[in-house]
Amino acid sequence: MNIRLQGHDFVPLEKYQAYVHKIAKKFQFPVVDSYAVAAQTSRATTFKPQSTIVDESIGLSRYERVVRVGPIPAPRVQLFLQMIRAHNPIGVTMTVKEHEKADEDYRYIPDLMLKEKQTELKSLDDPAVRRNLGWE
Amino acid sequence: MIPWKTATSAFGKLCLTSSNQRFIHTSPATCSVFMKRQKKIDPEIAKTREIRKRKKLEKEIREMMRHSKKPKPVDEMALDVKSAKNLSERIRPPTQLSDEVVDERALVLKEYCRSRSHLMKADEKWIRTSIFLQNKALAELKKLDPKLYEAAIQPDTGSFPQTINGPSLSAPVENYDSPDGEYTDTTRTWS
Repeated sequence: MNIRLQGHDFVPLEKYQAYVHKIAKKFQFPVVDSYAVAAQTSRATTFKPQSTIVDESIGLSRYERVVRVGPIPAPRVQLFLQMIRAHNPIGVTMTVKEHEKADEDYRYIPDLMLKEKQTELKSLDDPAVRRNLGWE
Repeated sequence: MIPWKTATSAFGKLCLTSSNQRFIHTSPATCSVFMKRQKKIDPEIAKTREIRKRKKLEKEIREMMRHSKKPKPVDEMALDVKSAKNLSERIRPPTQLSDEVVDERALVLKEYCRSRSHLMKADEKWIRTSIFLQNKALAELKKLDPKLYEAAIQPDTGSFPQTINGPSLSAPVENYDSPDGEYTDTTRTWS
């Protein structure tokens, strides 16, 4: 199970991550991993009234920390979430979900050359390409 | 009479009659001029070529997978090069505090630590009692009705993914006149 914490201020975010980890240990949940993910940056621009001239512009980052908890008995989950929710700090959004491969892949830079080679290998199974090979 | 006859006969020559069809070869319109001519390759050679190509690709993929996983850099954890370089400009001697301020700070710190540990102890007590009560309730349920107990044990897949927002700093401002503006996503993508 993944507990994903996002917020614009990373000081309370990190403290909260440590707290979630501590509470998980108190419940005797196996904590698989507790890590940071690259932040999502955005640019907020305000315009002068009745025009599109940029008035002010500011760069905001949404920091992200993840606590990954291993398999846990189902009845304990709600107790754990109740505890965590009560201590949710200002400005931090928490997302609780099952861990998927996409979550793990999001941490890493996608390797384009690897993807190319894999599509090439897959294309060898494509019937149109196999016809041109000459032996079928 | 005569031109009409020749016209029909000329037309007749243009039509594809069974006798004419021997001299005309029609092919479907999909045949373009620019397709590569299919060279006849010995099937065994073609087979070995394909197997070799496949092995080479698989080997390359394996090599790449070994070195592949590069984690995305987390900017707030990486060293800020600009700040590190001008560190010498920003160093100052430590401030000297008076004894009263130091004592006041120590007292405040003690109060804070006391309140935090009190809170933590309350949390631990809550956790212990709730686990105990839950176990007790589940044992009773097992005695009364095994089927319901099985249903209670099942993992709750329906409620996830769940998003919980933390509290906001203040209540929503009344009659807030928001300025014109927009948010643009400038997240760095590696693709």
